[in-house]
Amino acid sequence: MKPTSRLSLLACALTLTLPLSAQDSFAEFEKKVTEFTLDNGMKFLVVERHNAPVISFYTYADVGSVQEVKGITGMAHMFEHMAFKGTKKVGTKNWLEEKNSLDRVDRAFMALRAERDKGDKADKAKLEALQKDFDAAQEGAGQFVVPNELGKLIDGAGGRGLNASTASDRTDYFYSLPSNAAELWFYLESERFLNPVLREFYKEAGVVREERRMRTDSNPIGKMIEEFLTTAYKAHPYGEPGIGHMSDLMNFTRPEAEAFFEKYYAASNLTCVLAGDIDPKRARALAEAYFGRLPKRPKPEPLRITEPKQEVERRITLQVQSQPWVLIGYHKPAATHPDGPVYDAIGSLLSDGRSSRLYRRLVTEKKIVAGAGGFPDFPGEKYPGLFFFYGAANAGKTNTEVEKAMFEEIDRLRNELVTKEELEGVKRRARSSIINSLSSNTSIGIQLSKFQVLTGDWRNLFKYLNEIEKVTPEDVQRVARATFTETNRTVGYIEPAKPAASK
Amino acid sequence: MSTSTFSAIAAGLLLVASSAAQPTPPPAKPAAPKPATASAARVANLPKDIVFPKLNDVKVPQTQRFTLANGMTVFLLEDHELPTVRASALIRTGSRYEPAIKTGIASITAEVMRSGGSTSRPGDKLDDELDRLAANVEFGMSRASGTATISCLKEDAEKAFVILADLLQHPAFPQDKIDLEKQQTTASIARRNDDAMGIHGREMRRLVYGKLSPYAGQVEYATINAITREDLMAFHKKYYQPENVILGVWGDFDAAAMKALVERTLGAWPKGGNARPPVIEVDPSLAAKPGVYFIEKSDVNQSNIGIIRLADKQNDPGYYTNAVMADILGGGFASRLFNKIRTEMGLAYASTASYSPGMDIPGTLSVFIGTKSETTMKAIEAMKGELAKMAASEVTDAELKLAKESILKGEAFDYASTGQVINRLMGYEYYGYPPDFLQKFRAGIEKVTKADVLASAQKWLKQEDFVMLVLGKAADFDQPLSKLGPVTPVDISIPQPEGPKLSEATPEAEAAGKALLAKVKAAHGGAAIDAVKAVAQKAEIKITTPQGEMAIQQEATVTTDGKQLLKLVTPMGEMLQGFDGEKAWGKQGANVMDAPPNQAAQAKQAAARDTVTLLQSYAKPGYKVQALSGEKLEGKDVDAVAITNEAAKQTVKFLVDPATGMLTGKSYTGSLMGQPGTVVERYLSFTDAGGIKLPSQSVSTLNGNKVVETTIKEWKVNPDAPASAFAKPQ
Repeated sequence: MKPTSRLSLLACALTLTLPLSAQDSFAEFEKKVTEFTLDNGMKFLVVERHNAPVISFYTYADVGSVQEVKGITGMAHMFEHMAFKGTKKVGTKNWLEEKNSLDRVDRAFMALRAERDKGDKADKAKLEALQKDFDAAQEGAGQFVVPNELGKLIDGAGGRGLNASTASDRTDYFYSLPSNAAELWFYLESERFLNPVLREFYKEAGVVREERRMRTDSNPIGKMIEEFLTTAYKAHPYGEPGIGHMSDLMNFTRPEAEAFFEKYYAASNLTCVLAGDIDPKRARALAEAYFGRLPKRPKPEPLRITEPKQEVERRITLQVQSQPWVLIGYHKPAATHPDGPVYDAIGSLLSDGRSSRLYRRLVTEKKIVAGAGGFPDFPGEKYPGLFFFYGAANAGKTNTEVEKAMFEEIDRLRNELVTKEELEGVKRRARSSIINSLSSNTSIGIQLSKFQVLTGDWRNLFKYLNEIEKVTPEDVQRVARATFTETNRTVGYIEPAKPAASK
Repeated sequence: MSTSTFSAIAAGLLLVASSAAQPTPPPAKPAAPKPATASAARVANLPKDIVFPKLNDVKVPQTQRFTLANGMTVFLLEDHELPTVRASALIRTGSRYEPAIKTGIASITAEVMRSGGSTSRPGDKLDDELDRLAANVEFGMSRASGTATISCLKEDAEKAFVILADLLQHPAFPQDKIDLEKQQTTASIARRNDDAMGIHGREMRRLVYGKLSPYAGQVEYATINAITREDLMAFHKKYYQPENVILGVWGDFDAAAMKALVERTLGAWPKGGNARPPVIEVDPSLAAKPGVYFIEKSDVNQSNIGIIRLADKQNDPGYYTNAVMADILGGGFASRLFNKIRTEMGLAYASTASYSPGMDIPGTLSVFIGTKSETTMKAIEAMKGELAKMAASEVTDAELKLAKESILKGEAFDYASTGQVINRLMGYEYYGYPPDFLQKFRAGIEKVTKADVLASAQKWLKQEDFVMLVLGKAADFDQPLSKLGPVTPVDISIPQPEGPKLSEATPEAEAAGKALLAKVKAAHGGAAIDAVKAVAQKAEIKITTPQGEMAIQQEATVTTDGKQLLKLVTPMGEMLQGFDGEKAWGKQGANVMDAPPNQAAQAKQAAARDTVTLLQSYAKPGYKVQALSGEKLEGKDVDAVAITNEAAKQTVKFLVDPATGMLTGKSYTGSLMGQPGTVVERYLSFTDAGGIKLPSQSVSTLNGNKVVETTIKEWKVNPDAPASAFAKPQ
């Protein structure tokens, strides 16, 4: 896996024979890492970096939008928003009273929703009354809230970078603190997954609907990606939008969100990386004390849905107020497949730098695109994703021309062997990338957690270099021939909504 | 080209919880004694029960600074953690120094200095070499500075510096790379209205500084076309000199050896001797007047709402107070805007205030909210309410404490990265700030009182000082924007490239042109031409693509007073497009929509180029006529005359068969199929319709490439075409 967001499998029991300076880097780095697992299955990696008295905390929850089903699309992301709302102790003036008021809010919402469900037959006066009840219930619950207390506690300790993100196959929670405030993280993060309280749920659903409007509805590219993934996938949830469908965002409930949490946020599904000015012994003591409280729960059932082989080319065109774009996607195996490094190499050959295939041919020589690229594992790495291409036509050029030129480059990979020189560049860039990923606490958190969860061992971040070293021109051709076929592809056009020939 | 826009969205598909801005960085404080490690095996019940040890010492790295004989200032900082070397240079230049008619010179200079290579290192070879090494040597450009950067594995440091020195001193500026960069820039111009937030942010800046300000300069097709190779070389010569460069190098090296390398490579660069470029002051008279401005975008369901005003500089006395005030107002989870408009009202995902004081010129203070169209006015009222509240009474002790602590306690983060430390020092040097400026800021923050914050709010949050910009779909707003006062629409249509300017017509050329046009008019029907009020036609249009031809059936009605109605039957179904002389609209099925902004502009331009209209009007006031010589069409000599509609700024060349006086072609600079360029229409045959002869078959090319072939199947001159036919259906 390329350390920005790709993954490659490492065959088990590899001996460590890395290119020399990377071996030094690895040996040095390994000394700084302490790992331990709690009885409840929660995994910790502690990386010591004492150049500044700060620590970055990164929690990787092995749950994403693929866990959703129709009716609760957007729930993984919604829960992520909820994880900022506090706990029974943080964010409330009186939990016992608040608890009752939250139940009242749920009931009021469901009553309103039941009347809305009647559609045209809904009683207008009743709807108004139920809306009033719902507003009143929310206001009542709001009396008990200490707004955004979690965020304020982190701010008040000098924290930085508080945020979280939800992807198809994972949810990440992260921030950094001055190292003297480390215990605050142990407290808040453990409480967050021990006693989360999903207060202000329905209000926050309104916030998420705004987020959807911003990222998707009012954004040509966001809109297109949603359509594209739906078209490329007919069974696997990679085809569903992580932000959720608007009707689900209008209709899902707090109890459903709690059920989602119960099912997927088992301690054994959480991996934390603590990187910075931290003492591993102290970290362990705090972890045992705080996170040891999380109950041991069985891991959730794995996702069993597999996307059937695509047997026919799929095409869509979206007409919007935008300049043209071409998107192309080919199904590929999951990033952990043995050919993962080959796909990464292909992506690097196609897109890295001005000498890359797509830039050199399509931008510099043919002057047909303003930009173009290709990369694997879209929208995710854990399950079979897409090898994804995009191209933005230059003024006066059409999507059809761009598509043709992109297919020419793709066909070259099938028909001609790439040069050893090009592969040397790929390998060196991979090494540089891994080295650079160790340059900040946050980046360490991102990379180590990902390799730990997806491959079972964070060390595979370094072993990746072995795998990339082994990629041959023949491998590239073999993988290109297997993947870049007409029946395996989905093609999407964004076309400007414009008139035909002017006079 | 901002493929970064795309890859940022695509490669992420990541939904982040907050787009809240981070507080401004804090200054240094005297180091606290090192704490004993607490062995806390007990669990705190409430957050207040957690005992924090004292903040740990901040290690301030020692940076070396020296000046080369040629005037370059150099900072060095060793960092042996990873086997890499990084360098960053600030160069006294910037896009603020461009002449407005050639906006784009600065960034094109920077880009081509890299892409075009040096006189001894061709650009493409350099690309190959650097990519193979996993090394980067890049040039960048901002408004107030230029940059050069190096990033490489340590074993390649020497090579990288040799390359950097070469590119700085001997850039080749080859024409093909200049043309390529111009084309890339042109593509980005065409795409600049695709993204609502991008439009909104850009136009906010253009309002607050003023369209004509060097701090809001915007590339246009015309400015890019006007830039020559000589311009770029002159720009490079004037600004890229060692006296103008502050260089920082950090990473895995020995300082003495790196000093020697820098001296050897960059020290050999001779002085330029040009005067240091002055700071260009902000001219407040250029700014848009405070008030409400609006951009219609019909394809969104969310409004972008922003207010913005000029603010101050970092070295103005109010800096730290303003930073605290802005943080409390809209800096993050704890802020008023976040808590009210996002959390409490559930109206927005993005609800933030942003204070960005300039280093050497006034910066800005702004607020941004994104809310669904139906709650636009509700959100605006809530935002105004929060501003008024800030200015009406003091913030609470808790708010003040939290704002200050969040800044002060995070001090260690300012020193967490070597690159950050050295770049900050370079920035202070560049802008003439004292090296201990960060400490001053910290001391200032500590002193801020509630009264200070109130005074800052009262000074800076006066609603009458702000420009408000709303972008959205007005038809869906909860109330009309005009409730706030007079609303000024903002025109964001992209100015199309103008054709090559004709030299001033001599009286002889004008007379000859008019005579030729009289001949053309006679050949095409004479007096019958003047009687035409409208023409309707049914046509088959074939659009050429590399995959083959796409056929569209089109019914068009065009009037001589500039109205148009098109009915298109495409593979996607039937579409109507209309232009009533001012506004353009479209209809597909039951769906009626406003056309994107530049469609009306294009329709107007097309109307000004209409053949019948021109033949009726060429002798009227407002038109200029000029005979041309030496014109050819498909290799054959033709008579030619240029007609300019001065009001519409459209020039059309009529290409005339010398024998028959029939129009054999028409050429103009404009757009075809929505793409800009030089269009040539060639007429292959004519039909008689109502006493006039009009082209029945024509082929159109854009920049020499065949795009469209039109065959007219049916004509009607002066059909029934009331004005209502061209108006947008309700």
